[in-house]
Amino acid sequence: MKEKTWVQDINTGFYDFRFEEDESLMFESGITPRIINEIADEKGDIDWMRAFRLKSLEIYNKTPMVDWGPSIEGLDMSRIVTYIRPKTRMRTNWEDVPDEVKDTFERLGIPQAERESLAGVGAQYDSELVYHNVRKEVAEQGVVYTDLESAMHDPRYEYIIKSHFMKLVPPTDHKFAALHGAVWSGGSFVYVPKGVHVDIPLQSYFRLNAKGAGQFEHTLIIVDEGAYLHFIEGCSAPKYYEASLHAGCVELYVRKNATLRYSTIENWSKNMYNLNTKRAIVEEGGKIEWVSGSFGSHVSYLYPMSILHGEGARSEFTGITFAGEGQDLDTGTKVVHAAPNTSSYVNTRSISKSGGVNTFRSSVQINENAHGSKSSVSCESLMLDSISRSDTIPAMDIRTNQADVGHEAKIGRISDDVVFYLMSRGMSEEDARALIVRGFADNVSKELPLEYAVEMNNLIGIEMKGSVG
Amino acid sequence: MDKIKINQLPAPTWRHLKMNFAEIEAREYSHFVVPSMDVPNVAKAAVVKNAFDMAAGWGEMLSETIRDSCLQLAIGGSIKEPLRLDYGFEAGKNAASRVEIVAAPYSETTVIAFYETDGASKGSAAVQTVVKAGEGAKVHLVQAVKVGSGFQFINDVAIREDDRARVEVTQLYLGGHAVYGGIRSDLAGYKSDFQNQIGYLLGQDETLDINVVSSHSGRKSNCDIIVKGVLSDNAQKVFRGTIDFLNGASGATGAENEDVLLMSEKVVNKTIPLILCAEEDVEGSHGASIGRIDENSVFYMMARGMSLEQIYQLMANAKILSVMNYIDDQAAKDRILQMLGGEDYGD
Repeated sequence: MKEKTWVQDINTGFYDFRFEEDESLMFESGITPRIINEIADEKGDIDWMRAFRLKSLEIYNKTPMVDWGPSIEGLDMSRIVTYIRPKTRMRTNWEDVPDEVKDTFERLGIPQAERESLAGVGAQYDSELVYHNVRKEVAEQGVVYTDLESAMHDPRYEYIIKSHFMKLVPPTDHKFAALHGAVWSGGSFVYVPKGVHVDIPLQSYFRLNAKGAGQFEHTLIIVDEGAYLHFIEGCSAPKYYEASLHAGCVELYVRKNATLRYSTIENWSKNMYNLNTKRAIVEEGGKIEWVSGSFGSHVSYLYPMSILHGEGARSEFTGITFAGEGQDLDTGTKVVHAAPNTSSYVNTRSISKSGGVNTFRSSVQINENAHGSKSSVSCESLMLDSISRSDTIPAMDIRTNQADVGHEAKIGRISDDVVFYLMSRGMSEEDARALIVRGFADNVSKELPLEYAVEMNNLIGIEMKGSVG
Repeated sequence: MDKIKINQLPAPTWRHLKMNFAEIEAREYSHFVVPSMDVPNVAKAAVVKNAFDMAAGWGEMLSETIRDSCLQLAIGGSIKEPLRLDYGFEAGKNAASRVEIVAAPYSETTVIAFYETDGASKGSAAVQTVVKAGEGAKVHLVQAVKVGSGFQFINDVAIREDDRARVEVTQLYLGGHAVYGGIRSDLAGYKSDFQNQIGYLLGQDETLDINVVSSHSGRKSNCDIIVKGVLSDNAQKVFRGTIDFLNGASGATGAENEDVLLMSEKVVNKTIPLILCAEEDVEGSHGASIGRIDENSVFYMMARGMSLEQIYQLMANAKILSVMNYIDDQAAKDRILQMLGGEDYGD
């Protein structure tokens, strides 16, 4: 009997384990001034932060829902728990972390990765960081890697936090930025001093265990002049039938001649609404490199943005998205060229199957003063069946004649001609199709950290079975 | 005055980009205009009552404001001489016109329309051309637009194609204070084909807002959209181009490409080329090249004694002339050259 060639959905079962949550630790669902004040009380907020939260709530209530992307009608904000008390305060020794939480991260391989290939690790469980550690030799270089709350209460960093927190992504940016400003909790603060090259990556891992909850971590990274950092972010959650929400925020400051590589592998469960906001500002001669893999979530709105603010600033965005059954993933990037001789390069791949919906959405803006700037955008989409959908919506807004902007996009299926060519060289049809799909993703997967590239191959689970029917 | 939205993107994006639609003042387009015509005997022309029953590139809101009357051109065979339509618009009036080209199966024709006003004339016009192409019919629609500095011109082409029909639309936008162009092509027929070439030349404070939608439901349908333009002074332009592969359009192909030359530091160019895909067995692509002339070309021409100004003028002329080359009719070409400034254009 012939079996039809097929490509398996991303297998997220690996991440689908859970522990019973203690409901006494969960705050009341919904978003009200009383709940915001309770979060501020619980976290011992400084006055300015409490005022900031309440102001953000006002903005949230006034701001309309988005009306241009995937439907988020299934997200009932009145049922989302925005804060869950931690079972432990943050630890710097792995052995001190409670067994249940420790078991979660050990299953995810985080402690092993820390030992083998990372300069530091942060682990967030529901609303708070439960573990943070940085290698001694890295700390001795002056690198700060801690949770954001600790930094805010530390006189050495309070001013830095106050002057950078939600300045790149103000609460007025959109409704879920305002929500983040009101209920944010957890996340990391990283500072890399001038000229310091952090040779091995730092990693934060975010795990949302509780049912019907939201995670609102805030990541703030400052890479000072001439410094280098590779930061990896991973996220996952077990699957529930109730909607969960991730509305995190990432703000990255890349100073003069500094480089920051920010890699994300997102494996949220398929009940998750991932409405995350990421933004970087890059000064003269600096560079931001985004590497983004989006595999999970029910609905995603995710567009890391680069503001090229200093002359000669550069950005690169490399992304891959895989949308399977029940997923509507709206991903892409935004670039603003706001200084002369800046450059941006965008390269994405998306794969749709089993009714999954992929949308690549981008914008490239070149301002009047961005003379000599260049931008190149390339996006390719692969459709693996006719019940799926793939759209590309790239926008370009060019306001100077001293710029070069190129854009190209392709959409299609596995080419019969290429399959025929490979088969004429002795490959089976199954092998030929598998090779083509792997090759399609290769440009992007090779940019991922090695362990994640291996994981991505496992995740995509490209399995060609039998002969083609 | 109330506003209405026209030229809407089939799939909207971020509002702050201000590309999702164009907004114009709501007006009653009550002054029905019939163009002067030069129609060969083999075609039939008549003003008829006929409600618009298709999708329009400029959108539903404006279609509703245009009366049901239309000039219907019935094409029965292969017509070698083009049908020529010439529009003049009275100053201060909100003119409206709808022309319906009904091409019988396996008929063949070219329709050439000119829309011109005096340089200083004020007013507005909303004109719509409907093309209903029967099986195997071939229609080439040529439009050239140059309106006054106080004139608002809104142009729409709505196309429906049956099996193996081929419709080609060549448009030249050569100036106007506020010009809007919409095209909607429904490729419902097997192997139906839509070819679209648009050239534009904008300067001073002129604005142009274009929305092209090629909707593919027919198997092995094809579209090619080519847009070439030049912006100088304070000109502003938005180009929305959408290839929409609907489920069932297996074997369909579509390509769109825009090439824009920017000749001033104060121009604003917005481009948003969409591909929407609900069918596996299709091939779609789009590309855009926006900015200045590449350095190698400049170096090559300067090495042959040309100044930078001459090089830019040459390249600007070349863009418009390359779109004109899609027009076979010499009389139409000559008139377009006159609109561009005379016979010296392109020398």
